[in-house]
Amino acid sequence: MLLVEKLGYRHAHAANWALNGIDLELRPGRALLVCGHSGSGKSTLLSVLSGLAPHYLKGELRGRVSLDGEEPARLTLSEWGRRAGLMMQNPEAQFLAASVEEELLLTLRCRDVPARRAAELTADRLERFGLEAIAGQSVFQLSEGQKQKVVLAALTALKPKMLLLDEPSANLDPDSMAELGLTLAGLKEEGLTMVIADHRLSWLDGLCEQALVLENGAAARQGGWDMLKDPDLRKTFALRSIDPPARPAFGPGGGPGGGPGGPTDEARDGLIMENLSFAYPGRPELFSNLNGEFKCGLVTVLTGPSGQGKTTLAKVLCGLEKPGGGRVRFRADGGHAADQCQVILQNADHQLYMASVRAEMDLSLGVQSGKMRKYPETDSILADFGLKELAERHPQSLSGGEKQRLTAAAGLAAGARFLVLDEPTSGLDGLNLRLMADQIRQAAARGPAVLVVTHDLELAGLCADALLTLPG
Amino acid sequence: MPDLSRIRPAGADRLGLAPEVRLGLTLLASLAALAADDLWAAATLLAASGLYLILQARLRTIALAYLFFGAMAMTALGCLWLLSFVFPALKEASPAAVIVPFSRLGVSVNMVLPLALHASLSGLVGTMNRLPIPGLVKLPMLVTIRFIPTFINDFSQLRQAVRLRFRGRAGLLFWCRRPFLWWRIFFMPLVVRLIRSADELAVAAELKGLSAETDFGRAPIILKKADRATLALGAAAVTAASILQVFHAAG
Repeated sequence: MLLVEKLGYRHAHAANWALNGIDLELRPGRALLVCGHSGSGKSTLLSVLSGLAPHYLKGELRGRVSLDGEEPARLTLSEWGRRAGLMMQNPEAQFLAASVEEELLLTLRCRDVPARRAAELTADRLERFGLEAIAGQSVFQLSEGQKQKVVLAALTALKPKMLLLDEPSANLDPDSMAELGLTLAGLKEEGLTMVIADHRLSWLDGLCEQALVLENGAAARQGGWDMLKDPDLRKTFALRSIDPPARPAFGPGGGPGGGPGGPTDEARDGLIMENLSFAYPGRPELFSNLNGEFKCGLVTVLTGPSGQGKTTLAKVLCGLEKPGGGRVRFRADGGHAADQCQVILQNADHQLYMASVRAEMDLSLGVQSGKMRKYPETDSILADFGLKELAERHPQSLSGGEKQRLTAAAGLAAGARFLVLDEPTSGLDGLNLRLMADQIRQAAARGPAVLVVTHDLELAGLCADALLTLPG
Repeated sequence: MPDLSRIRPAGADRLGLAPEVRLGLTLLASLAALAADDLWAAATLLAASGLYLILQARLRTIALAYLFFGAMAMTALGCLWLLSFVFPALKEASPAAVIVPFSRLGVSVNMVLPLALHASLSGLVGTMNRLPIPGLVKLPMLVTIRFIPTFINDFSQLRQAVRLRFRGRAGLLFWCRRPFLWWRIFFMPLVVRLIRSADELAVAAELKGLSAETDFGRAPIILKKADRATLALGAAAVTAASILQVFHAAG
């Protein structure tokens, strides 16, 4: 049984406690959801339960964590790792080997499993998780769902007692989420205790029996899953919906405003794709003969299973990849999108350049106008995205959700005729999800055609004028 | 049961060398490059190691690595030029004194890149276990080798992000007037990603229990024809460099 008593944790050199007075009891074979605002302490709690804090992250720990009487504080990180496996938000970061099979083998050899036994266990895990077909494939070439499966296969090979999962659904499409839910349910039946920190809640209904809502590092609410059915509680703590989001209901393939496949609106300008095809060298076609129009002033949401070419299509539309066939042009003047588009990528780390949040916004506005200076509108844009209080912070010191909002704000401020947002809500709580949806709609209202590439049907429901689904 | 011997990471690996051979050649070339301070000896090592790289990596990967290496070299030369105003003796340095240190870096790139791209990590760990290397050296070496593909991946994503955000914006004059801004835009996220990736890899190694004491077994080394031929050619190149070092430098 997992027992947490009066747990507190303070990061090294930090003044405030990131976790404070948390009590928890979780029986074997049960799963706990940890939720709350971005920055409420979910990942820190997982770091403590996994032994990373304070073994690796240092800092100050008070209170007690134990699993069947054993405490991480009294074991080495490696010894605790055999009992409690952590799956990080970015599973790729956990790979040390190059191929799937090798990763499993290496994990076992690190745990002193003899070579022959390690090979047998590797074969068993490959079969159990349906990874045989991709055993020799590079770990860098897998889909997010496949990467998670590889990590889970490695973590469970030596039968740990507990699994810790940090935002496992952040990068998954609905089908992959459902598949992950089934995999986890199977592992639970084997007696594994699970602690899952996530913003998306609907896929966890039926998997998690307990829920813990964190606020400022403390347990704000704690109880059974049904507690989350209270809409006031979800609103208070910025939680997302617990009901599976419905696919936005539009006409066949399009939206009310005339997105791709939707009703035509000849007067309105838009980015037209004509017979668009694309294939990476030496690989089968990702898509072929795509036709449609992304209307200016409207939001088109692009969905579809992982690996079907959604991000690639966005790159082709922006001229970053050359299409194998067909063309892309604006209806009004036949111009290309290449020099008139802005793309906000999923990985915010790659798009933050300056020493403060304010300077980052000024850079965007400066590049747009050709003059680098302090812009008076910066404050109001930051306020729109809930970032005004963080204006003087270094962008790289922000939480994942805050970084995502800043890159979106900077990209939207830069202005464009065609605007692409790639998974803009993967790490956002309910409040910021709605904030982002509002900003996307406002950006579209200013004139550009907006394309949102996402798996997040909650976001699609809030902001889509048209829906484009790439076939699986 | 899967055939573990068939696992080979993707890439243009035309030689398919055993990890022991790659590691041995890397150590040999590194030591020889350190010892060689004659221009011709250094050039011999650079050429031989360059050929070794070309046979084992895609041209695009090599170009990317050398682009980064070139940027580092140009930065170092720029600093050297600035320092020469303070220390005029630097202006009188011979070409060999400037070129040889960079050729050592080149040899490192040529030898470490195939190691990182193609040698399997578990194979390397096994090899290292057989070698008398202290655990405290072994573990950072492993994380460093694993770090290289991550770095290449980060670099390529960053290049794409910069293109997407700034392409066609503000005009050439804007950027020409602000070279440090351009420098910052490219290198700031790269440095942050490098630190973050290194930290993530260290965490992954810690959680896996990879440690100085990890024992990966002691399977016998089996050398194929290509392994033996490459070892022989490597030894010949080092011998040639040694001869040039002794006789050409003395002459």
